[in-house]
Amino acid sequence: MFSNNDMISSRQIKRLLIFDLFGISSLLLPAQLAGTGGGMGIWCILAGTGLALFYLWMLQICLGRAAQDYLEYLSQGFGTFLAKLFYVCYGLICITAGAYTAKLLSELMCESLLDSREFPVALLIVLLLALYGGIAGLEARARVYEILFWVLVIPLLIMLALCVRQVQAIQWFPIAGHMDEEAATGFWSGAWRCFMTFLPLTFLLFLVPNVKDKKKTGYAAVCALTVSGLALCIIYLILLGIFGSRALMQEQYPIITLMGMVKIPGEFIKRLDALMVGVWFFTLYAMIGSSLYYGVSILRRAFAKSAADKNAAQKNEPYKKSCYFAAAAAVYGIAYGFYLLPETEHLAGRLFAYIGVPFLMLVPMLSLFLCRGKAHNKGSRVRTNETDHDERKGVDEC
Amino acid sequence: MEKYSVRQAQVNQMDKLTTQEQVHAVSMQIEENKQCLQDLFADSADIKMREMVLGRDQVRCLAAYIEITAGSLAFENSLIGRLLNDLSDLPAEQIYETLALNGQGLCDVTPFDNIEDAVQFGMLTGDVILFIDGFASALKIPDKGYPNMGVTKPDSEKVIRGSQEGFADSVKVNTALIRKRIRSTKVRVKEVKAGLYSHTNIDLVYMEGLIYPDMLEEIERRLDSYTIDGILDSGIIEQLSEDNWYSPFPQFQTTQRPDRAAIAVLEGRVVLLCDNSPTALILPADFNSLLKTSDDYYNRFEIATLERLIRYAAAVMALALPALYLAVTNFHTQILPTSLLLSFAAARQGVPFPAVVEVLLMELSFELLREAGVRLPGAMGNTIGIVGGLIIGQAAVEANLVSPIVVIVVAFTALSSFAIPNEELATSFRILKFYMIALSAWLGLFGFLAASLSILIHLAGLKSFGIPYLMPYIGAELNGYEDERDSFVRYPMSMMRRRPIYARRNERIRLTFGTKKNKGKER
Repeated sequence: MFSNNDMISSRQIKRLLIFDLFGISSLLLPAQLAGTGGGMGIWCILAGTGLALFYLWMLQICLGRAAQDYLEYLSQGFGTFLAKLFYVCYGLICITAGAYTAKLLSELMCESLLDSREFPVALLIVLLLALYGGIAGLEARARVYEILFWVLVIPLLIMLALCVRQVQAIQWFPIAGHMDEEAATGFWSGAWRCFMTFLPLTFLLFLVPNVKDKKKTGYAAVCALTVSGLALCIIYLILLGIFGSRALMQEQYPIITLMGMVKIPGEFIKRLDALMVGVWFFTLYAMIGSSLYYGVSILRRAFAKSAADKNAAQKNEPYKKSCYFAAAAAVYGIAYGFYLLPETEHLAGRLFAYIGVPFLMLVPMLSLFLCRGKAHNKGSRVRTNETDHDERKGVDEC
Repeated sequence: MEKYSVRQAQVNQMDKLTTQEQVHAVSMQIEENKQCLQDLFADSADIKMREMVLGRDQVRCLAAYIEITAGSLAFENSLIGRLLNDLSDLPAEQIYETLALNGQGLCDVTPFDNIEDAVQFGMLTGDVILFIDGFASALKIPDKGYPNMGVTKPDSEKVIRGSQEGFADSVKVNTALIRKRIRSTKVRVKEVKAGLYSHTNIDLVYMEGLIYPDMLEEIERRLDSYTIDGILDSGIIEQLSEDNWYSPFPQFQTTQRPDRAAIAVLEGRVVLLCDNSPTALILPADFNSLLKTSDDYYNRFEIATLERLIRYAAAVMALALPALYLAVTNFHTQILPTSLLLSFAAARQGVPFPAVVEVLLMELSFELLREAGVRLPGAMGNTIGIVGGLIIGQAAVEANLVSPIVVIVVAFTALSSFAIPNEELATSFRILKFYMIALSAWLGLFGFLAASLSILIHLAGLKSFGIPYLMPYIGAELNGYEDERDSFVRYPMSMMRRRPIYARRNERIRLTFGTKKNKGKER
């Protein structure tokens, strides 16, 4: 019949990606951009989005060539051993990214809604939810965000609209100041940071077997990136216009602070930051869920020996729950480590910036030169249960 | 290992039960047949066997039936009475000939070759079986059958506009009530028997050409996948056939209204009717369909839309209101304006319990009242609601056991849960409300968000016969976004031209305008 085929539609991809990209970037970037780019932060966002679009273009070529499986595609150019090693690295990056986001979300929850002593409980609950989402499968996660999209976007848009009247446009200037060496460094640093928050686009590479219509996937990703970039620009302008660059760079989560400042007409609700933090709860959860899901499926795929194992790994059938439990435990350990020893978080951040990001960029780039990919069979396409079903019915009717 | 042996023994016992039955051919000698019946129904005081003579040649015959199910044999209006009258003047040969050739025409006679079949499909279904000396068949003659309640108003799913008929206990009556509404040759009724001892009739009603054949196969497969001693209500089938047994959400839509069932049949869904149950199961089901009522389609779209939006809001409040109250008043008081906060605090003055205990106390009291109201006979049930709601609530507030605001919250939650048209869905919200209360009382809004997300993930993964439970809010593109026209907002009837996704892809047009060509053409 329908569904349960681990296939997701382009609309679901778009919405999932928007949440993956928007969560961390809107929470952390404005303060960082105010510190590095100041009034030029908006250009940093545009440049970062441009870089991300270039990265996405590369990924799309890889997607086109990889046909069904990115690992097989990599194996053609790099050999099986290196391809599997790359996969392990991808998996570890996903797990670490998940841990970082989990730590960030738990910290945010403790700061906004709970007591800081409750960090381990908050982290545990976040990871239990991620575990539940992971075990429920890609389809279930995609459906959650398909449903939640407007539920979260509408209140956010209303809140931003209510903030606009507090914006002092004078705070935006100078938008393009004198470009000395320091400003240029700040600009590129800001753009790079922005680009880094858009790196969840890499998930697209591992989504190949789960996509209904590959042609629309690229379009959905471009839409998601554009929407996220645009939303980030608007939020940055509003924050800069209200706080000014100095106050903005001192805020840890300026967007949450802003939500606490919004005055609702009639004032039947006094402060909304406690409610609006829910938007970031769901967006950051999306990122944790994606990281855990892809981390597990990538590592399982990397360690699959035979073709049967490969298919099983893709379908996530045997040992699925055990793998998710192990990954969630690892994420918990790493996230708690980041919380207890902030220097480990800095170290991981540096490793990600200097090794992880170049790795994520170079592997697809090199693969463009080294891997040819499979010849496309124009007659074949990714079949979904829905299409199978309807086609079968069509045959029956004939 | 021991567990396995016990299970195996049970299976073997079941197999024995199903294979043990011997078959006895109907004898030409009436005494043998009578003896056989007496053996089968030893110590059964309700089984009546009446010997008579037929025709000019005084041929002996035996009528066997269950007490109450048959009318007086001499009664002119009963079929058996008429048959006996018709045969009274005939010689023996003509009696046999008439029964063999013209029994069906005389009084809808069904012959059986063996006694077990005659008993199973004749006598135990509430009809009379007639054995005639020298005639090697037992004849089933329909009579008044088992007593049942007949067609009454449904207890639930009340509507302001539309038919007031409800399903009865008899599956045949229920099938007829659907046929009465869809007088098409394409309506199919497939009969299945279930229950090792109960031999319950289950009718699957659907529209040929509209449903996906593998949907029907899947239903039959599930009905065939278990052996149970008796099926006494459609609820048993529901529990044994659903995808996720642990989910609090109903995966079958239930209805007591024939018009709701007819709407489902026209949508390309299957209606499962179970004998002795006035509740029909509709499958597949989705969350959206559980919040619809029949009169959504009979009223104008503005009214229907407003009512639906109210129902959706009620569903959210039934689930979340007490939890949200606890989260806000215990953890995040900054959300509330000072004046409101002060009035909350003033209302709670003197209450010795924490807010969560207050809420739980009131919620449990409400559940108790509800249960008592359901179990008590008619008028008293209503009284207990008023007594409980007004008097006990007022007394609890005056005794400083709970604050008035908690009474308001709990009453509002209860009111919201009553606005949900499907009882099973309302119950699932009532159960999950406690889960949300627990997490919100522990972790405030974070707990509230976590509980909401976990419920949403659960709903997103839920399916009913392969249809995602959250259709059409997800996967709406599969039917060209047409199903969204019958969701939160009910579009004007003239714009709802397509059937929902349950119907076969090529058979989804349900409304056309204008051309003579289309008139009278069944689609």
